[in-house]
Amino acid sequence: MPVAEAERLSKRYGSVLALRGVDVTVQSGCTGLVGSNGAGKSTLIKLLLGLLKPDAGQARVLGHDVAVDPLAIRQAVGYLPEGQCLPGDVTAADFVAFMGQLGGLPTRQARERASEICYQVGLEEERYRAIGGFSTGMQQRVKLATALVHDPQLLLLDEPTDGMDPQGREDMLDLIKRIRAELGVDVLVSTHLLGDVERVCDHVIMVHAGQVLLQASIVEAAGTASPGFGVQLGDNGGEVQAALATAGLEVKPAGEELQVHGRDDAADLIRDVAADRGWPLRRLVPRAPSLEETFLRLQAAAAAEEAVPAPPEPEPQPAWRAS
Amino acid sequence: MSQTATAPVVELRHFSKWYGDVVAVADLSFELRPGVTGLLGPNGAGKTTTLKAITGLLQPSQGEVLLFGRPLAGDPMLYRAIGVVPDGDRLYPRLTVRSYARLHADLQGLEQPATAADQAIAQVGMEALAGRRLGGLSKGERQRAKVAGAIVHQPSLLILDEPMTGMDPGQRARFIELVRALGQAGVTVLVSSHILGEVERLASQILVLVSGRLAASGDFHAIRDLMADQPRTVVVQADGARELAAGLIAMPTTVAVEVDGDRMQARTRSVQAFATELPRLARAQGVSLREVRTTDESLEQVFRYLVGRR
Amino acid sequence: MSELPAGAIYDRGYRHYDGPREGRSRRIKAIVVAGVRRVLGLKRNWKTKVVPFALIVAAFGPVLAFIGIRLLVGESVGQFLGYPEYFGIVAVVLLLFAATAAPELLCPDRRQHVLALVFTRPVTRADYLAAKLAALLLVVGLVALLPLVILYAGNALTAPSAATYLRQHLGDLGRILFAGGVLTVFYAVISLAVASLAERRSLATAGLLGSFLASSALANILFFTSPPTMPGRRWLTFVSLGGLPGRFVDWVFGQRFEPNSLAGQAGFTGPAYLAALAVLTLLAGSLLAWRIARLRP
Repeated sequence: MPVAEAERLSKRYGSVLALRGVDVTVQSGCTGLVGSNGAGKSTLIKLLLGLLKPDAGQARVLGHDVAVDPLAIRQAVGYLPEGQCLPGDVTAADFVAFMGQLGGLPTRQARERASEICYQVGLEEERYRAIGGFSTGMQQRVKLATALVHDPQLLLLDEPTDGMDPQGREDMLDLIKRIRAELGVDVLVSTHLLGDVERVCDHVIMVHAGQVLLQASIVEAAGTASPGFGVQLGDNGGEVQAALATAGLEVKPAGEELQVHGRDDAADLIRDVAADRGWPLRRLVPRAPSLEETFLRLQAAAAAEEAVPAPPEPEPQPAWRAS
Repeated sequence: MSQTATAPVVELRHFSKWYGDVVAVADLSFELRPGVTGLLGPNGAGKTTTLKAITGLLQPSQGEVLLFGRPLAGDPMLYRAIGVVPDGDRLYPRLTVRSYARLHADLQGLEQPATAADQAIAQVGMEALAGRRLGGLSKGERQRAKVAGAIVHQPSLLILDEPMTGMDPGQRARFIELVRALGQAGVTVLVSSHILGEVERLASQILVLVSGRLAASGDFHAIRDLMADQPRTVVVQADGARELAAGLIAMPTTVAVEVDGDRMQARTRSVQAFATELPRLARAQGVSLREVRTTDESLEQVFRYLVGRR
Repeated sequence: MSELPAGAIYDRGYRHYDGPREGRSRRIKAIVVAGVRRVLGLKRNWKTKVVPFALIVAAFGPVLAFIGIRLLVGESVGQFLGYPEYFGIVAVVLLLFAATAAPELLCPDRRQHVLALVFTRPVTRADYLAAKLAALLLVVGLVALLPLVILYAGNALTAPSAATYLRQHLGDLGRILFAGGVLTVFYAVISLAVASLAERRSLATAGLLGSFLASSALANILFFTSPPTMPGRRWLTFVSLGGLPGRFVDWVFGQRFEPNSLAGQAGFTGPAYLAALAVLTLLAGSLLAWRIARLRP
């Protein structure tokens, strides 16, 4: 059973048609939700949570209809909202316990589970301190704890790494993977950072201007714009490129590496050239999937189709030279 | 991006700042030249303090901060050459994008403020939204408006603090292109960001602050190579991983090898030697290599090493 | 040979929750408890306890002191304040208490955007409102009823015959509970309604206190400076928000209005003031319900 599905879902938000007849299915697993600003992502999330009623169409989350039974949905979903939403003058443990009670846990169990969850997300002694003094990273962890405390079946994370420093971001992404693995809970991550989605998710849904551009597994979505390998062989210089070309491969320099393709046995050919000439083979990596290429391509296509003024793509040419 | 021996645009000499007992930044010395430099560091490492010092928002407790060879204090004309996109989301919500850019143009005393404003708006790709009020825009669009305001006077020094907050993937890609182009054109750009993958694309030089001190500076590939005293990790995927491993551990420079199915992870004191022996060995054993990579080569890894977690 | 206990490594990973789950009552109770804690400054730093506890002392102090003295010195101390007079003191404390507590219950949730999290749970707007109202009724009711009940009990205990006193003055107890109940509901609903209009606590408090004081001042000034023949002049007595509870209590305990006061001159009888309280409470209640329904998560 899919985690969530929507058919012909429409919602007008003020004077803007935020979602237009959207058909979407969220599979089990970890799904990334990406889209341009104003594309209807947050509207979609609020609809799925039952916080808004659709103008047309229907949606079901974990088997419950969003228009009929929103409370049941919110019982089984944990939501990590974007932005400020934590009280400053309450301790983390108290607040997470409170949220646990709001999820139906009795007082004692709420307190115990809150303490345990805080530890799991990495809040140790800090959980007895007031949230007002927390860094951004710790605040995100508190939010994650409130989303988990009532043992939901679906986690909805909105920009989970927002404002965190590189270590914090890694920790958060690892936490998400771990929660997936240990709890088996399904996750929907809404974010602008395609890199995070590539790292953590199995599927991706791309939205733009109130419509779904694509829903697929990461592998399908990224595709391979050009096959082959990224290679660092020797100094990647002219001699190296010539040797590879002689072996029957197509070579294109691209920044730090050479993009090499053209034969099914490319890897072996590269290996042999390296062995013959005694050049160090430091890097041989299948071309990395890139969601960004796919997203930009689909976005541009959708915009052109609609003759909607897409965000214009100027050739960034500064008109001045620095003095 | 040539690093010729031109005068640095920004120079910090033994810059320190403390607030009471708390030392925010200690003995920072570096130079910035035209091109894009990334400023990295954990939260609380002193990045904001450093940026504020460069833009003149605070005075050093000790040391000097020089712009174009002169201290910023007492030289307000220097501000004509600086553009700043600060952190935070506080803008006058009722101003339109155009009036916002125009405001900055006027504040800078430009001769043709309207033209400059429109040019800046075009550069950030917001012509379609120029008449909209800031309050009604998404966060990413507000960020772009801020950038327009910061570049309207064509500054030689551009300071960007987490500039891509709230921008969607399309806006991010275009912004990265814009900043790279500015760097190529000779603007000195300092970008503070947490998204290392994007800093890698934006910047050729990096400055890493940890606990108020400079942990590294320069080209991050060069920094990475300087980490040579540490054994480096190489990951190899191949069907005959175990046989390869047996041969590779025989090398004196190989420190350790781990094998799990078809995945081998080795630590070696010399990537050069390892990478030269690997294809030879693979061919001799008839093993097809599927993937070879040095795992600590990304900026993420460099950063992690510098911050102290290996 | 005895068996050595087998070693074990315990999994400290994430676990599902298999325990009991309660429904709506648990959710509402959680918000009520959190609200009461907040208002009384419990589980927070000492500064937040100053105002509520000072007010509680102001409400309870006199009667406890009096009873203590009476116990020590005996009947000769004479009658303490009568119930209506003491209600007069308590009403002031009630106003201050409600004016500081209601904003504390509603404003921080809005200001800190905590509602974004609260409404991700199966909590409806109605649940939220009911819980906040219950919390305020509890603490305001505490101050409205308890001091007078203690006074009553104190009178009874220090009377020559407690049983006789109780029998003779049972009506008084009824009146105390009735008056206290009405005042509790009135102050609670009005202050919550005003608090729902502001995001900053200080604004809400100032607004409440200001409107009570200003309306009383205005009503009195207008009444006594306008010509007696002006039509509708007597209705000014209902404009004085601060005066309404007092006149209501007077009526409950059978006291006449001061002849020279606004109420005395206006000529309305007691039940009119109860009606006025009821109307205001209903209006405020509607405003409150509308504001809560409009809350954005």
